[in-house]
Amino acid sequence: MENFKICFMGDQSVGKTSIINRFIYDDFNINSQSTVGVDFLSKTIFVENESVRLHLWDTAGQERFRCLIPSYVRNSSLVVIVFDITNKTSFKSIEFWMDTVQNERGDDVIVFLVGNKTDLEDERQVSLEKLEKEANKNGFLYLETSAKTGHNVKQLFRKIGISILKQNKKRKELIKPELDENTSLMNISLNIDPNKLKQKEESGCC
Amino acid sequence: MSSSEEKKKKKKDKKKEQEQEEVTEESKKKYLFDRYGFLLPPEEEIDEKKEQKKRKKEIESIDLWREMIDNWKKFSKNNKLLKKRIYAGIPDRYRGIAWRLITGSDLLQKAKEGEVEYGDLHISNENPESESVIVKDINRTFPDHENYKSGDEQKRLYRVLKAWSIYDQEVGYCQGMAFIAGLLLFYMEEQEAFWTFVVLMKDFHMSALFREGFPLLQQQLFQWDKVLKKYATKLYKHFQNENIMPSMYASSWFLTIFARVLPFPLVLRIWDIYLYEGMIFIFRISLAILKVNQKKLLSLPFEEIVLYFKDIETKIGDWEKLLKSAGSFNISYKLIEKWADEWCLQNQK
Repeated sequence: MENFKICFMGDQSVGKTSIINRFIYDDFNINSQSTVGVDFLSKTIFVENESVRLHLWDTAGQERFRCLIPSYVRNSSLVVIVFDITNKTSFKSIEFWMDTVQNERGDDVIVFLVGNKTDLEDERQVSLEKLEKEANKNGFLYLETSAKTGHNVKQLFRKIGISILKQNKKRKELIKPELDENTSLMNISLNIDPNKLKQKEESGCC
Repeated sequence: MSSSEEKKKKKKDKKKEQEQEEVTEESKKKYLFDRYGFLLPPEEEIDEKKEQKKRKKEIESIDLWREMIDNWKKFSKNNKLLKKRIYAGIPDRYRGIAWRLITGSDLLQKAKEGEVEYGDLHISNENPESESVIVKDINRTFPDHENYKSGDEQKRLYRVLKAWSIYDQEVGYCQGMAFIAGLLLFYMEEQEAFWTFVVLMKDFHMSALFREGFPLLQQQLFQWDKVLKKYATKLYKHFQNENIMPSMYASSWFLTIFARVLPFPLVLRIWDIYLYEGMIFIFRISLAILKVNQKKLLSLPFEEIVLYFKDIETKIGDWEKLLKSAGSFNISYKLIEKWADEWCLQNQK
């Protein structure tokens, strides 16, 4: 079974850990501890007759922890950026988290925007239309969830599974023709400019 | 209201009362706390015999510690005796004062009297950025503890952290700090906790752990990798093969000195020794934790290793043995320093 790495990011206290816990344990703990550094959980899901193993990396939301994130984004198949629909600032921060992703990966990664806490409809500050607009502008997937009630959480991970499989198939098809033309794997990896790679490793605060 | 309506209402009220009674009974059953005030899982009852034995031992050490604290100047010079007693565990009653004496925060507090007013610090509005981060963390710090469910305790924690974010605005507040201040507040008055926090940040260099870019954390993770390579080579190789990096499991170990990670009574014992020995002991206890689990860890692939670490609090076996073996590891100070220099050289460019 293939493993896929998924990285969760987004402002402090928007519900990253809670969404993951709802998905893994089908549980919601109002007293969840704040995440320090990174956390990890995994689960297998079945989509389109295939089983997919998801490795979920959960990161601390304070801006300062951003510099620890690149090594987790580096090999991710998909990045989930979470915001809190009752908190405008966390929505504005999407751009900030996007920078972190794009610095590391350019546009070569699927991004999922998730507006959490739909159970607090009365306190909503960010409309679904706004989320839709932001996602469409950048070609991201999007969904609203409530980790507390479980609303859309299964749906979120189903969609994650489907888009990862789709991308994986595309990638495999891309590599195949080159191999057919007697190109060795070696040549493919050499297509990456080693200087560029090095620069990337050296940049950033950590 | 007609009489039939009245009857109905009475019936309803009675039912409500009954329900409420049931709820309180239920909650009595459900919510058991250990002696430190942490919520116990429903099935886990306190082992009375074990607790009594522990208490007896503690009563004996209380007399010894009272004498030491009354004559701190004299005893603090007797390193051998002090070390022995610290390793045996500081009695709860004297933990607060002992921590202050060991770290010297009592002296700092006196020295700063009249110069820095704690009361002015925590009402200042100078660092709003830190403030909003602190507020979001307060009820997510030791959420299973009886104390931190109450507003008053949460306010104390808020004020200490807020005061720090004003005292050192460059470092400010960083997630993880709340667990350290929260731990100190179990044993100290607010001001005492604040000045001890300051000593930890400054003299124990913890502010470099939390500063933008986490420079000291990066260095400690590098040093830790070297410790592993030298003192637990098999595990080191296995982790390398499985792509396990120290940052994946040890960041919260080092950032909170295990406060967020291990069972509370063990955390206290680790802190007793950490405050006396410094970071070297944290490397030792980390090594002890890995050694206890070495056989199992060597058999696991990447994913299961990371999950194993997530649950490490349930996998450390006998605490006394663990502490003892940590104390016996002879990790070389010289090497630790050499690795620190190596790290600095690499990162000066």
